[in-house]
This record gives sequence, structure tokens and C-alpha cells, in this order.
Amino acid sequence: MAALLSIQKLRTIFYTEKGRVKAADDINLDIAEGKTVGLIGETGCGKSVLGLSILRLLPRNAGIEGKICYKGQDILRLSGEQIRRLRGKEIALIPQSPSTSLNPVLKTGVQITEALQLHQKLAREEAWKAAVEMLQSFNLPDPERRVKEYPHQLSGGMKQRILAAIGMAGKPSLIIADEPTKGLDAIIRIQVVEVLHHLTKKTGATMLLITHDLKVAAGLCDEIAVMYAGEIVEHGPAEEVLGHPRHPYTMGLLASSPNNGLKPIRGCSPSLINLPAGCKFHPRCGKAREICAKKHPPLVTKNGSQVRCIFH
Amino acid sequence: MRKVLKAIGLICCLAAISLAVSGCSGKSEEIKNELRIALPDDVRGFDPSTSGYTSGIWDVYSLLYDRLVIEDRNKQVVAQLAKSWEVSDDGLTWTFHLREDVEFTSGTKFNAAAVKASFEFLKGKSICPVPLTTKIKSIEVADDYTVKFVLNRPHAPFLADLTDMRYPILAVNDGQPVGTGPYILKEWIKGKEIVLVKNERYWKGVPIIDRIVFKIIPDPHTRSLALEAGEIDLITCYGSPNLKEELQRLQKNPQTVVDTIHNWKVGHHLVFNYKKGPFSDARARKAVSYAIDAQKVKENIVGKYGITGVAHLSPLSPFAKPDIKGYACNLEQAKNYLSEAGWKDSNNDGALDKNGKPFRVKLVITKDDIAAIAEMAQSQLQKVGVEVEIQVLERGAQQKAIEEGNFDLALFTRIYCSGADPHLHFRQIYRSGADERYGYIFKNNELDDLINKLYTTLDNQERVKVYQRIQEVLLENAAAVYLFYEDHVTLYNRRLKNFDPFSGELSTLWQAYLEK
Amino acid sequence: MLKCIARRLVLMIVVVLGVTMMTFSIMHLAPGDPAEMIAIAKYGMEDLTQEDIERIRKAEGLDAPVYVQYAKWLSHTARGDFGRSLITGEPVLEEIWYRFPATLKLALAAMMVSLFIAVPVGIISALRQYSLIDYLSMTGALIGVCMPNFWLGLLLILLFSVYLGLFPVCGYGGLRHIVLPALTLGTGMAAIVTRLTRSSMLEVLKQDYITTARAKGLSEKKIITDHALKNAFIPVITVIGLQFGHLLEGTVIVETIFAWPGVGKLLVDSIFARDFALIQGCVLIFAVIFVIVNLLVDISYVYLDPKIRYEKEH
Repeated sequence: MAALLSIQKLRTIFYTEKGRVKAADDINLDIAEGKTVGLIGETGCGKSVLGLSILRLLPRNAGIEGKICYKGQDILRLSGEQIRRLRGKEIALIPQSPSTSLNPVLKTGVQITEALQLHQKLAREEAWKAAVEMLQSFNLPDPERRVKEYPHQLSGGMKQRILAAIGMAGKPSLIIADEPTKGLDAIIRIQVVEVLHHLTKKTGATMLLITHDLKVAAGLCDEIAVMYAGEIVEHGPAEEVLGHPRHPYTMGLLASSPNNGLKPIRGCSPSLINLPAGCKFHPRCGKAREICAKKHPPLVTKNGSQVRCIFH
Repeated sequence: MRKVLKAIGLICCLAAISLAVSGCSGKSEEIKNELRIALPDDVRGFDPSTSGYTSGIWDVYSLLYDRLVIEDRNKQVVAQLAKSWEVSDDGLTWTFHLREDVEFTSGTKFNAAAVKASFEFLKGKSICPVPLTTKIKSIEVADDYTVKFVLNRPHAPFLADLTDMRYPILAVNDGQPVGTGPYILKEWIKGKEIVLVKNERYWKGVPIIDRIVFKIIPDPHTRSLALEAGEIDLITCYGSPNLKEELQRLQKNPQTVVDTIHNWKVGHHLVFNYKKGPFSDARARKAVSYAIDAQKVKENIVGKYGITGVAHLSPLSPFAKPDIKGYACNLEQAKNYLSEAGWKDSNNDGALDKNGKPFRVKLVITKDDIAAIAEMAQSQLQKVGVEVEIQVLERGAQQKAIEEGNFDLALFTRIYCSGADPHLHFRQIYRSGADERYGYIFKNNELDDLINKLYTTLDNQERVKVYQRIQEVLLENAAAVYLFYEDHVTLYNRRLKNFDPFSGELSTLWQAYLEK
Repeated sequence: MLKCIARRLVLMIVVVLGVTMMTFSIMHLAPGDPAEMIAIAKYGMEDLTQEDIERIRKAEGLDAPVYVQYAKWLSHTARGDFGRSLITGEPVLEEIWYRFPATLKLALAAMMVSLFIAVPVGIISALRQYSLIDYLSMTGALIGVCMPNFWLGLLLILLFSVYLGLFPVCGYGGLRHIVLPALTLGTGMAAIVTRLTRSSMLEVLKQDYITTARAKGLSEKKIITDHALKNAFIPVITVIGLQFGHLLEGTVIVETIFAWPGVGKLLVDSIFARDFALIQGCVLIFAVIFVIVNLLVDISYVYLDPKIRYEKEH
């Protein structure tokens, strides 16, 4: 089956006063229709940038090279108007940080209905009704009241559900969920996961789930790609990657998760301006040898999954 | 959001409409035979007993009211409503013979009784009565057209004082004063304009220009720009000093006529603190008098629109002494006087000192004064080693500093607007005990006697001599440094013809006309 | 909301009281004998005698201690009697009331001029950051901030009235008369508001919710009008309120240059003449306007920012 979205040789660079920030480098990733692909990695590894690159929502100082094919057309070659028509309708974004992603001066209902009116061509009243229904289906208590309120009156989980509703308003084929559980407490995280589960399994939508939460990824994803310093270092079926991690970074990530004893990876992720030569992970890698500092390992495919490590 | 935008839009529209409606009178019909005059300050009314002085008010008054006598272009007192006059030998009784062909604009006849009523009205209700009225003991109507003023004590400048615009002859009609002048008050829109229409009954003849509008324009630059743009036709009290460059530009404009007349009424001089500080020593005062180059100051500030000062009164005053000896700039003399007074440059730093104290003096000026004058004096005095600190004060504060002797030098700008005789100024500032506010300024017995003589000397020749001697005494004692006298500048549109603007008088406008 | 406004009204009385008290004491503490200043302003300085001055001092009650004078003024004012001008003898309220519409018209026109210029230019500059338009408008704003009113006013007169003959040099009258003074007065404010609108807009455009709005597929126009503007206006509105004070201050000079018969000119004249009754009246009016404008700003602020609205209600 042809991929719904195919990212090829994507490279996103930010031109800043301090230098060129390589936020994503040589990314190849296919997302098949109906599948949920998880993109995991530490904060600052470039996974959110990848998500925003797909929708071309990056600030003006970002340069994107390569190809992002959606349903056969290269998104990077679309005109501003064409990409705008794609947004929300074909590809939706559920943004990270619910506290800042809703407009503080507009009622939540307005923020949902404007998308409904735009994409589903609903009349005002219909749109409001539909919004309430959507929120109800996301198990938001008392949705009639909530749509008349402003974001600051809602809890984080409620806001996340509003954002989910905004994302789903256009009945998109592809959802990019950018850290939907970031900063939420455990109970709300479970609620959000339920919502996302509901979205993917019941509606059969395709999703790119960007997260640093391995547990969320494990529960929702068919495939998982692990990103480190702007590169994909491991990619394969979810159970493979999480069950039998092959890249030392993936192993480290797994070991650092709360279930596995919270053993952090030593050191911290490198600045995207001055990336280390060779394998970008080698300064922090327990298995690193001399060669790791010299040779940049390619992504090797083995048994249906890919890994970027010299020892594979 | 849309609601907000709508609300903002609505408010803006309402504001715009209200502006448009309030202003929809639009461009009024151009009235052809109308003269527009710039007035620097709004008047406070047209009753001379209460209106007080505002800048430009005499222009308005000179069109509405006549006086018994006026001062002409040659600074002579000439007849206006009085045909002739005589004074008794004791100087106490002044008799005026009046014109018989004059009517007030209200239709009442002008006669001796009217003159008496007019002065009684002026004496009027104000807290500060118009000064001359306090000197009059009684006014007698000798016959219909002869009036006698009996004074409390001799007041020699009585006739000259009557030329003062504060003593117009008016009649009261419905509580409003009316005059005999060439124009009649039609409308006063406070803060904006005063409209006058011609007096068909004017005793000299019917004025040619139908309407005169005084437009109130406080800013001097705006006034000249309005003249250039043709929005006004006449500027009377043009303050030349700060506007030298502007005047030169206006003179090149083919539309405008710049009429300058050398004037003795606006003079700038520096006075010394005679009682306290270094200038209690006459030699120090003389040194400063020699050190300051008045010619240069004048050139710099007003250029050709003024005359350099030598003595207290300008050489153009009828009371000036033509060959008077002043202090022409002479740095050697200045230095000699300074060292005589004990000021030496003992530490060779270019600044003088005495007993270890530097020669440092304070010059107080007001914000309305021309700061450049003070700055020039400062740099000229620095050349002889005297350090001057300029203190720019508000008018009240400067007055206070002078009153309390908290100054060494003060800049005085004197406008003698009270008639043809400058006696008031001398009496107020230089006569002992006349006004305690000027206690720190030069006084001496000879000067006191001379100033008293100004009031008892009726003979004009003698008066001139007294004035000349006063000025000599002031110079001998180096009581002040005389800098320059500003010209009286009148600017008008070339369309205005047959107009002779002389000092503070616009009554000649009655025979002027506007060329098409 | 109503409670809040009521509280603000009480505060307003306190502010106005404070302002008048300060003006009163400053005017009395300023060097120079007030009676003499009044006498000079009223009669000219030439042949004024000390007796005249003393008479005026007595007649106007200037011989009493300052606090007694203030208390007297306050008690009269509280009863609606603003007194009479010491110089003209006209009732203060009448004098101010007569000139007030002119000043209000000028201030409103200036505000409209500056908002109509500043807000769109600021928005365009933000949307086209680092473009030629942006550089031009920011340079213009910088010049606008630096340019003193009197200089700008004369420059405008020279250009538009003397050379081009488009508008009258000065005077009070129709729409044509108000253009140049409003421009002069509004420029400084326009410059500040332009810069603020631009920076505020830039700040807002960086926010996550704008990304959300974009991701929705909204058109750029809708994003600006529906999502960015209201947020960007919040700081702008505050500054407009504060700037209104400067606007009133500016009327003092602009009214003089353009021979505009307003309260600003009246205030200056009365200060020079130490016309206490009139000064107090003018200051009172200005203070009240300023406080009211800021109250309006706060109300609109509440309207724009739901957070404040709800905090106040709960």
C-alpha cells in the first residue's frame, strides 16, 4: 500500500543570529494510511519541527529542503493558498502546550466552530451544535457550558480536548499530534490518550504522534521512529522498537522511563548548531568506540526495521 | 472581535460626522473690502477702565476710540479731538478746546460734558484706577466745547500722558463704551477674532475699508506665515529681535511690505546691583560698560532693524542728548578700571580675582528675554576676565531676585507704552523710595531732584535739558549698560495702500484702501 | 463591573483632589509675588505701584495662608462655584466651557489621525517585517517621536499652507482648519502607537495560538483580524490611554501655534498671569478628562481581555 505521507531527504534548517540550526537532517519517513506512527525523542531533538515542517508552519527563518509527498503531491512545492487548503482539511495539527495554543481572547466554541464552518461549510448554529457533540464524544463534561467559556477558565485536559476537537473539525486524513500529553498530569494524560485512541481506532485516521512519552507511544502506535539530534536513529514496528531496541539511544530512552527505573542517559543532548562529528550520539553512548567519533553511520534496514548505528 | 471593530468604527464615524457638521460652514464668502489684522493676544473686553493691557490691544482701541491728543510719527504731541490747549502758569489747570464736528458712534454729540463723563468713567470701578485719573482734582465744563482739568499738583507730562491709549474719550451706551473712532465694534468671538465695521459718521470722513477683522494669532512665526499665505494683511507689533532671519525672508517676498520705523520705545539694557556685590564699586561698573560692545550685540540680534544704545533714551527720542558721551567698547579701559578696582589675575588662569575670590557675577534674565543678548554679554565679559553666570528665570522670579538684591546684573527690556513722555520709567526705577521693588538699582540725590523736576518743569526746552542731565548722571555713574533699541516693524500686504503706520497707531487706516 | 467602576470613580475624586492640591501649592510656591504677577498681567508693568499690588492682594484674598486659600477654593468648588478669573473677572467655568469644545475637537481629531495612521501602518510593518515599508514606517515613527510639536507645526504650515495653499495657516473653523493642528498633535502619538502596534503584533504572531489558527487552515486575513488584532490591541489600548495625557499637554503648544482657541492656550496664559482660579479650573478639567479616558481604557481593556473580566467578576 502506498504511503499517505512520504517524507524524503527532509532537511530543516533555522537561520538564526547564532548560526544555522539543523533541526532535522536527512529524514526519510513513510506513514501508511490508517497507521499511527510515533515519533519519539528528547525535547529539542527536532521532532516537533518535523511535524510543523509537514504543515509548513515554521517561522520565516526556517528553510526546508527535500520532499514531503502527501497523496502524491509534494507539499513543499505547493503555493501558499494550496497549502492553506490542505491545512485542517487534509492534515490537521493537534498542537503541543494546550495552555498557549488556544487564543486567550476568544471563546473556545468560536475557535472550534470557525474550523467547522470553514471545512464542513456548516451554518453558525449547526457548527455550534457540532462542536458540542464533538466535545461530548471526547468525554468533556458539560460541553454546552465549556464552549461559552474562555481558555483560561478550562483545565489543561479540557483545553487539550478543545484542541483535539479543532484538529478533528475538518475530518482530516492525517493528524499530526504534537506532544499531546506534554505537561499533563497522570489522570488527564489517560484521558487524552483515550481521546487519541478514540480518534485513531474508531475513525481510522492516520496519525503522526510526536511524543517523548514512551508509554503513550506504546499504547497508541503501530510504528515508532526514534529521533536524536535531528536524525532518525531507529525506526520499526512499535513492538520491535520498544521490545527489542537496537540503537543505544533507544535503549537509554527506555531505561530512563519511569517504569524501568528512571535511569537517565548521561550527558545532555547536543546543541543543534554545533553537532558532534561522526555518530551524533557518541559522546553520550556507553558503547562508543573511536570510530564512532569519525564515521557518521547510515540508516541500515534489517528485518523490516531501520537503525543508525555502526554496530548493526 | 467584529463587535469591537464595529464599535470603534461607529465611534470614529460619529466623531468624524460631528467634526464635519461643526465645520460645515466651510469656506465663507470672501468679503472683498475687508482688512485682516493679526492680533497677538485676545483682548479682555473693550472697556479701557477694566480691560487692562494685552498685547495689541492699543491697535484695536486706536480704531474704536479717539483721544484728545495723540503722538505723531515725528514723536510730537498733536491734536485729535482737542483743537488746541493751554496750561496755566502754575501748571495746575489744563484747558482744552474741542472739535465741534464729532459724534460718538451711538449718535451722541461729543462735547466738553462728554469728556468729563468719559474721564469719570475711566476713573471707574477698577481696583487699580488708571493712573492719570488720580492726579486730576476736578474736571470743569467751561462751555460746550471747552473743558478744564484741574490737577492736584503740577504734572508737567500731563499732555504727553493724554496720548496714552488708556485715556480714550468714550461715551457709555447701554452699558457698553462707544467711541468716536473710524470703526465700530461689531462682533467679538473670544479667542478667535474681533470684527469691526466702518463708522459712517467718522468726523474725518467715511473710511474706505468696510470691515476690519482682528484675528487672534498668538505665535509670532504663525503670524508671519499667515501674512505670507495671504490670510492676514497686516502685522503691527512685529517683534523683530528673535525673528531677524524671518524678517529678511519676508522682505524678499514681493507680496509684503516691511515698514520699519526707528523706535525709542523698546530698549534693552543691563542694570547693575548698585548696593551689593562687585558692582557697588563704580569702577567695576565702568569696566563692564567699556567691555561690552553694544554695536556688536545689536548687529547680532536685530541687524539693521534697530539702533545701538548709548544713553538711556534712544538718539531718536525728543529727549535725547545728541552729543552725549557714552562708553564705546574699549577693552584697555575696561582692564584699567578693573585693576584699579583691585581685580587681578593673580593665578594666571585668565579669570580675575580679588582676595582669592574669582570675579564671578550672576546675570538674571527672564524666559521672555532674548537669551542671545545675555550670552553675548557673557562672552564679551569673559574676554576681560569676568565670569558671568546666566540665570534664566520666570518673570516673577526675576522680579523677586531684583527686589531682594539677589543678582549682579539684570537684563531689562523696557516698553514705554504710556504716551509720549518716558517719565514713568525713570521715576519708578531710579528715584529713591518710589518703588521698593527696585531698591538695589542705582539711586542718588541729584537724580532724585532731576526726576522730581520732570513733573514741575512745564517748558519743553527745559524738560529736554532735565532729561539730558538725567541721562548724563546715569552714564557718569555707569548705572546701566545700554545695548540697543528695537525698531518698530509693521508688515503688510502690498494690496494695502495709502497706509501710514506709525508707532502704535492704526487710526490712519481710515483713509487706507485695498487694491484689487 | 459596576462595582469596579464605582470604585474607580471614588479613586478619581482622590486623584483629582491630589492634582488640584499639588497645582495650588506649586503655583503658590513658585518664585515671584502672585499679587504682583496678577497686577502685571492685568495692567501692564509700567506704572504699577506697590499700593496697587497690595490692593490686589487684599481683594483676591492672597494675603491668607496657602492652605486657607486652598480650603476656600475647595469649598467653593465643591458647591459648583469655580470662582471668577482673577484677570478677566469672567466666571472660570464659563471661560473653560467656552474653550473646551475646541480642545476636545482637536484632541479627538489628533487621536483619530494618529490611530488611523498608526494602527494600519503598525500592522503592515509587523506583517511585512524587514520590508521596505517596515523600514520606512519605522524611520518615520522615529522622526515622529523626536520632532517637537512647534517645529513640526511650522513645517506643516510652511508646506501645506504657504507653498501649496491647501489648508489655512491657522484659525478655528471648519474641517480644513483642523487638519494641520490635528496632524501636528497626532504625530507624536502616532509614532509611538505605530511602534507599539508593530511590536505587539509581532509578539502576537509568534504565539502558539496563531500557529493553531494557521493549522486550522484559516486565511491569513482571518488570522490577523480574528485572532491577532484583539490580542495585539491590549497593550496598544493601554498606551493610548496614557498617551492621551501627552495629547492634552501637546494642545498647549499646538493651540498657540495654530491660534486655536482652546483650554491649552488658556492654561498657559493663566499660569503666566498666576490666575489661580483659572489654573485650578483648567487643571481640574484636564485631570478629570485624563482620569475618565483612563477609566474608558480600563473598561475597554476588560472588554478585550476576558481574563481581567472574569477575575473582576469572581
